[in-house]
Amino acid sequence: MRSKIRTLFIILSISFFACACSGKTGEEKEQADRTIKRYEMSGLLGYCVDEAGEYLYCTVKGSASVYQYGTDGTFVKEIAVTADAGEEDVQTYVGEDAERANYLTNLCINGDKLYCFRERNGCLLEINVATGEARVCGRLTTIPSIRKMEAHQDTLLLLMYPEIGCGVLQAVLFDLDTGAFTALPVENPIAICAGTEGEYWLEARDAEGIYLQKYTVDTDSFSEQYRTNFTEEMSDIVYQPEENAIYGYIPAQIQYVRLIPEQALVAARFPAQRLYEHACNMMFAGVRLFVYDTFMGNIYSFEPQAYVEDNKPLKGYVLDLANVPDWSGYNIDLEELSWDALALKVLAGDSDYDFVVLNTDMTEALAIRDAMAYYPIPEDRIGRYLQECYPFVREAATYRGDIWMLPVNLYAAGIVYREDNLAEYNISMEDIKTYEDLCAAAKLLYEAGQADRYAVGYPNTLLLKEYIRLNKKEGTVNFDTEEFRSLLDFLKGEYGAGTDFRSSYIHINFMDYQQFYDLDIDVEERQNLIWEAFLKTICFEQVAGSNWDYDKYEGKEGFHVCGVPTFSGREGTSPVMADIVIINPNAPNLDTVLDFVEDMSKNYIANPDRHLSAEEGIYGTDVFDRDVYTLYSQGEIDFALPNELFISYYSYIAGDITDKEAVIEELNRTVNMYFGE
Amino acid sequence: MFYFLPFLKVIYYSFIKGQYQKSFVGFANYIAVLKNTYFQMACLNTLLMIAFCVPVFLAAAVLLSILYCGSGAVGNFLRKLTILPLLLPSVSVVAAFALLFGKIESPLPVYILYLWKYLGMGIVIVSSALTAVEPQLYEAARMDGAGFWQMHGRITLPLCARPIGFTAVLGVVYCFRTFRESYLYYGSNYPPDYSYTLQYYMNNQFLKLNYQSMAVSSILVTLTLAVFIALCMKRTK
Amino acid sequence: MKKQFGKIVAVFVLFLVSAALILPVVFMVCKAAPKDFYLLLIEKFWFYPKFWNSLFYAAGIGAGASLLSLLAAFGLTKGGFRHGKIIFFLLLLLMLMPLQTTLLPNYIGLRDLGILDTRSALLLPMICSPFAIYLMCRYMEGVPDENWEAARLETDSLFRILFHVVFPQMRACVAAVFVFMFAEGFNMIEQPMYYLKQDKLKPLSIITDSMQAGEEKLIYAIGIVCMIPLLFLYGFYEEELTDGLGRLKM
Repeated sequence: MRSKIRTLFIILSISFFACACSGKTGEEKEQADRTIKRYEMSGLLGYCVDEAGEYLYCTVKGSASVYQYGTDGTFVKEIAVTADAGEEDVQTYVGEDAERANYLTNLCINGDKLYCFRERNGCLLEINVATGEARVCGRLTTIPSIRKMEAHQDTLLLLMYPEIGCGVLQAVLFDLDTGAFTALPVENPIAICAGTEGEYWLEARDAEGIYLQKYTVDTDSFSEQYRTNFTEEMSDIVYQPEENAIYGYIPAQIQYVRLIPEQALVAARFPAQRLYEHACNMMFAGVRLFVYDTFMGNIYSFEPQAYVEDNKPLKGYVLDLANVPDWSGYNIDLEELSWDALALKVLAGDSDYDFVVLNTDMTEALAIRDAMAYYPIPEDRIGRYLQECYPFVREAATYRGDIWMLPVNLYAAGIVYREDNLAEYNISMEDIKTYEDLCAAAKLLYEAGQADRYAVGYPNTLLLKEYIRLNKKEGTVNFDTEEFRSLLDFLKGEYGAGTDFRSSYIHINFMDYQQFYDLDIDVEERQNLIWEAFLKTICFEQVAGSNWDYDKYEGKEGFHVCGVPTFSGREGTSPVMADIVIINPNAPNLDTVLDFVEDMSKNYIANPDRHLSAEEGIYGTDVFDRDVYTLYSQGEIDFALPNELFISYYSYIAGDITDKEAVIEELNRTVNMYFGE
Repeated sequence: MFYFLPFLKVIYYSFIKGQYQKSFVGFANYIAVLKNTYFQMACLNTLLMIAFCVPVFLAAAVLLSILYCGSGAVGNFLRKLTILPLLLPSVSVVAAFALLFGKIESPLPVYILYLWKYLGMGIVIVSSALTAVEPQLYEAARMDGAGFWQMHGRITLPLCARPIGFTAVLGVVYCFRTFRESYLYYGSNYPPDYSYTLQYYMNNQFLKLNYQSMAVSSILVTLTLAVFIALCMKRTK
Repeated sequence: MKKQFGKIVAVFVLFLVSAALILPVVFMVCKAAPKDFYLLLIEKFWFYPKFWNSLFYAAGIGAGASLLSLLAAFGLTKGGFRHGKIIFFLLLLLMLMPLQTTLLPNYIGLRDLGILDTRSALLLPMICSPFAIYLMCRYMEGVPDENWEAARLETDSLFRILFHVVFPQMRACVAAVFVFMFAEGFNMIEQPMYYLKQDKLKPLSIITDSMQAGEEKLIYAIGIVCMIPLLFLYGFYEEELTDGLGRLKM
């Protein structure tokens, strides 16, 4: 009996332990080919690829032949097309049009037959690839331009403009056997592609949005409309039968999408090759997707699977959704979490997220850094971007020799001012050395009735952070100084309880725009008027912003920018803040997230005015541009302490606590407790 | 599995450098934590709290139980009410307490909060132990002319030593659990020095992602307490 | 006379103490306007699912913990473990371990088991509460061995012995553990906060802790409604509870 109980007990315990100890094993991901092949052809008009992906056919300007190439780029043969030589022109063309109209366009393939179109005489031509024989299979008499042609079984589907000068596309089915044209009853078609078994897919737009629809030729019937969740349309689509998936390109977002038509929600978004115009004639040959960039006249091919992360989006956590910029190109799932919960995840080494987005203004970022809970971003991924940034940015991104985060969306604090406007009131920015001077200037303007010509932000947080930044030594901040006492006095006097905010000269309200709203003009015009008035009257403005905020003044005469003066009158600096991306060391999609940061950094490199590029050349030679450059080069990234430490400070300014010495003591205590723990 | 395995993990974590640097550092974490002035302060505050609260908790529980048991049906009814505070959500309770005490420069409000909340549990345990004592013993004592204090000191305490001891352990456990109330009361992770208990220390370490200090401090404290309690248990036997 | 006086003083003192203990409760009842109850019980749809969640967790934890701790205690005390004292010491240690510290390893364990963000994440750890086992062991030690020695002669089925002999004897303690764990389960805050993500799984205790803006007023009403099942339970099982706890031995 006893042993029985004991055995039961032991078995139970062991099974429990075994359960607990059984961990999960990670899955190895297959590496798909990420290379992008490019085919350059001068004057490319139309192309197609055979199903096996062996040969590429194309038509070019200046020749009435179809050229056959191997997909490795070797020339195979030229097929001259002369079958329609006897046909009359549909209409007379002149100049460039005439030349273009002469050649073959809209090449497409179905098995061993190629189809193309000659605009001049409206002939649809069928070419036998093996023999090179061609015949006229149909003739359009009124059609000047076909956007896309697809061949499938015994039919051709044409996406075309029905009449000259008509901007509305129409999908027209052409029966190769009977030679009959039938317009399909779909309004506003956008793109077409061949499906399986005598079916075509159509993308169309109506008042409710963009939808996909399947057309079956034999029964002449449409499927139901599969609604997408797209806001922007796909300029072209292609059907991949093995995955039963439709691939498309959204020019507005510079990204490809993959979706299962029956549940027409995005299954994957991916970048790959950027196209400069809408994609044209997307085709699948095996696993490679071919796409024709009409602007550059290039054909690209790549394996979409290498870019589609198996329907797994990137997962990121943020503490504050408001901080998150819109990064397109990846299917990113961002979730807001409290620091408590995120800290637990970080400590537990969870692998359900790829990255965290924080801000340099948060101590939490430092906590993650100090715990080394980051995946060091390889130098070759974002090194170039960091090289282009100011040294202080680079410095902040490096910890123990690792790049621990990617700083993006940098923004710097500064003061924008107009010298001439200030001079009217005998104020010169040269004389403004301290924050008190700035406030005195504001007061002067205020008392002169010019309250709508300047903006001074509420300084309590700013000055406190500045004080800490300038006085922080090895893990301590001393608040028991004359400087801090006078800072408190200043804040209390200018801005604390008892002062009426509405009549306070510390304010961020600009001019009253009511007069413009009374005018009966449209929104854009009104915005312009307001902006003009603003630029004309502004004296100075305290700005904490990104390049965009400074860009809006760019090139405007008479504008200057300088760092925000500090309270104690030390050299004016510009505290710089940034959103930072930290990669989870246990990220489930590590490769993708690394690509993501790399793409992001490349994006910034390509748009140097969007990050604080240290390259002097891009800043222009205006006075204002030089000022911005100087402002940035004075910048400094600082990780702020948690606000919780400063409860007494804020309640002193708000008037809940009156004893100044007690506040200083309390600040010293809490801040040093924070450092000391 | 949900307690023992985690416990082993905590011990393991206390010996490594960091959650992401799994190098063995021996007792370096222990030394660092023991040397930390704020850990010392937190320890002192926690011990102070235990030293003050648990005896008061015990004494009050025993005394009140005796009184409750001695006053018949009325006492019985009132006794049932004492458990109510335990069942109230802490948020509203703390709000009421903050109004009541205002600003006092001592950890007393938290102590009182603790007593108020958990006293009911203590009373329930002790009084149920009291009812188990055979009434004849008291009758006999009364015959002998024993006074109130004498009677209970001689009979009640020795007979109920074990439940009272258990109540003491419970009191210590509850001391650790008062963190939430204290946090809500002060509304900050950095309360006044006198209220800075170990829970605050550990919570702040957690927020700083410094799990090692947290593991070390909790191991040190629980071990000390457990040994202390075990010794007491042995003595009462 | 003196005795009478003493008794009056005692009752008076008791009244005072009880009043002090109950005052905040009364305060709360007063604060809750009838309109809040109307809002809470009739207009707000989020309330009921959460409330049932809370009850479910609490009941599940109570029942599970009492059953498991009964078995564990039986095994530990009567299974003839030689190092019983060490196990008790360990139990004590685990009991004293602050929740904050065990949160992380527990979280990792639940994650690796794949039951994070499910109901089991809350139920399982609480069911295996060392406190319940400790209590049960202490109680079981006080019950003489002879009872099951006798039963063992009659039947060989472990289940039968457990059900017919052990359970009736331990009834009081089982009830005590049930009530104890029920209250714990009803009031837990950290666990659902960290182990659960889906809103529909969350119990009421989190809501009372982090109210949506504009609903602060409801907090008192919620407090009272929360109290009702607990009070009911307590009133119902008071005797068993008292009995169970009364026979606690250190």
